Amino acid sequence: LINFLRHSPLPVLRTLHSILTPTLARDFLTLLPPELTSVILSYLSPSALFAASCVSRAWRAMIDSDPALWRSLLRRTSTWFGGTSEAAFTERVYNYRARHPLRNPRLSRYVDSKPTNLPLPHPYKLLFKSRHTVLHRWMHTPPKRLTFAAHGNSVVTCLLFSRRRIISASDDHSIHIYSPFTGEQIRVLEGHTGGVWALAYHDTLVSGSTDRTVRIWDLGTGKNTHVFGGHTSTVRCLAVVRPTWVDSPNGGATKEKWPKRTLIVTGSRDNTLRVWRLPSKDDPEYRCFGADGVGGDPADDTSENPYHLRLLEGHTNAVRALAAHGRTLVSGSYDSTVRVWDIVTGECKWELTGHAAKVYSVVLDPPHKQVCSGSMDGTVRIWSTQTGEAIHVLTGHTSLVGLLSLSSTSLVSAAADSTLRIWDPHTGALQHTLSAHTGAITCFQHDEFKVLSGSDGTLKMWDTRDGSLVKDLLTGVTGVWQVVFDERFCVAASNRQETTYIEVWDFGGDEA
Amino acid sequence: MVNLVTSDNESFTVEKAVASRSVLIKNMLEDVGESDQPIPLPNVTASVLKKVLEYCDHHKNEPMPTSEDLAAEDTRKRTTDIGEWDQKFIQVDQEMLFEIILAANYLDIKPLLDVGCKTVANMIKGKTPEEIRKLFNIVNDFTPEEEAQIKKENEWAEDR
Repeated sequence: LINFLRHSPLPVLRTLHSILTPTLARDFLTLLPPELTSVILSYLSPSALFAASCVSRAWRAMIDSDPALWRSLLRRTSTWFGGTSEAAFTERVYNYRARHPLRNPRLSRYVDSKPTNLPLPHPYKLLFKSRHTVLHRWMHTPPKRLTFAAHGNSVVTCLLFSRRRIISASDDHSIHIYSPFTGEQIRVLEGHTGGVWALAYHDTLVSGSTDRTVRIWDLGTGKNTHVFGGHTSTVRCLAVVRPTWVDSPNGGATKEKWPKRTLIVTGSRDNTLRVWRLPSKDDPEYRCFGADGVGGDPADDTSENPYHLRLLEGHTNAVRALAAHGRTLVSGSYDSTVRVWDIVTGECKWELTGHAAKVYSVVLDPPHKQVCSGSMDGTVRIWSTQTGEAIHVLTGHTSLVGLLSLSSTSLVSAAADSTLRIWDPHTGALQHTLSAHTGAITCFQHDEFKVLSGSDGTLKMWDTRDGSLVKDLLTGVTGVWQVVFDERFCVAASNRQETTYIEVWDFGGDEA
Repeated sequence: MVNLVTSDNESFTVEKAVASRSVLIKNMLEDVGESDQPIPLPNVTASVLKKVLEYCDHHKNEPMPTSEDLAAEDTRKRTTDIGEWDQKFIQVDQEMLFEIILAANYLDIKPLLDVGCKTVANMIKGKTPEEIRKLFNIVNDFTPEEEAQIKKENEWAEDR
């Protein structure tokens, strides 16, 4: 045979080659045991996996349905957040698919495709795709930008972004609603007789003000449907608490849903907190004494308010911050303590002492049953809501820690010392110090990828994972009051030349 | 020395250090203790075992991967780099590469299995779907509509 080949002309060899090659070819991925296929795929980049999934039905099925492959890709690209958020996403996808056996292409995030006979991908693939698309857009795509004036020259005290609406509250007493696409003013909510300093949104909008009232608004009509009186000083912080599955307080592995109905908790400069029931759509309207500036003092109300549930007393100075989840409420006060309350019974479970000055911020970490607090003493403290013990004292900031925010893998604190610090919320270890601002940090928000922070004149974007400065989104302004973002939009309220502006950056790329 | 017998009844006599690169054989040797009993390898043919032993012989003096190395696998950055000697060693036709991977898996020779898997990954890398099909002799069984759909849903992954 060898002799024959040696004497064969080139065309014959070529023909032989074209016959022999396919015979020797092996469809490795289909023929090897699945665990080895998985190893081979684990060496491929996303773009190579994309090409490979176009090869055949069998290849696509193997690639799309391999949770280990996508989990490993998420881990290796630092986009795996520890399992909790990933499990929640997976559950959402499976629930969605169970509810919608006929796929709805509009929610492509959950199904990834228009109806065909091809099998659905594992949720981890969708998660990888969504995280990488969003990350890529924020880090590398120039956003569309929109700027418009709002609230005259007043301070924007609260900024929310929900359901594609910008909701801004101001010390000019009003709340405005804007479209992030056009900047059009959709509604002006008027009724408060003092600056609005607290705002939360859950189907309905709840606001708290220096006029000592809590107001509920119907965003559909712009109507102020409820006015709650009772607090004797400024309502400085509030939260809407939805029924949530939590561990049973009696211990054991059982889960219970608390609170039974959606609640509002409010904290005030009058040293107290109050718990209210959030009115639902069909509930009767309610206006306390003096709601409209006549007929009495709102502070005298509550006895007849059917929505008022509890008054929580104990703090000896103003309540500056609160956070709530399930039946647990935590409050931070200018009396330097943090209190942990059971919203359902009204009992104060713990008084957490240790801070040497006013507490300005609190965040809850429900999965770990912890609360973090930031204080004027320059420390951040992490406490157990189970035992009331202090777990970590995070030191490094040299002045007031006014803002805190927590994600699955990082706790970020922002201080008047012009830095932000990223901590490991479980060990308390300092991971990164973000220092490029030159003044006190006035606002920030963060997620696993990015921190957006505002300070005197600039709005900066940082990379959460390595602490590096990505870019300045805004420079040359007098001050940045507020910043919020979701997957697609970033919204900031700033001030320049005596005028307040709202800026919107759309990182949606070509998304319709 | 250790005596190995293949599925096609060929017998190979090799140093213990060479045979022990296979965790399967190493464990068998530990179980039976010192013995001249031939070890049957019913899943490996002579031509493949010859090639595998060539690999084991070359690497016989290297430390075995520890369980910690293996545990770190999932989080480590994946590189498909292959050493120079291994690179030459693994330049075989697909049939042989396929058999080597199966044998390395059966005999539990992790480094050789990795070389094999990386080689297949390198064959896929940087190619268009059509080139991959041609290389592995695979038939495109998507409908044109499905093909368009897959392309659309995977656009995000390009150039990343």
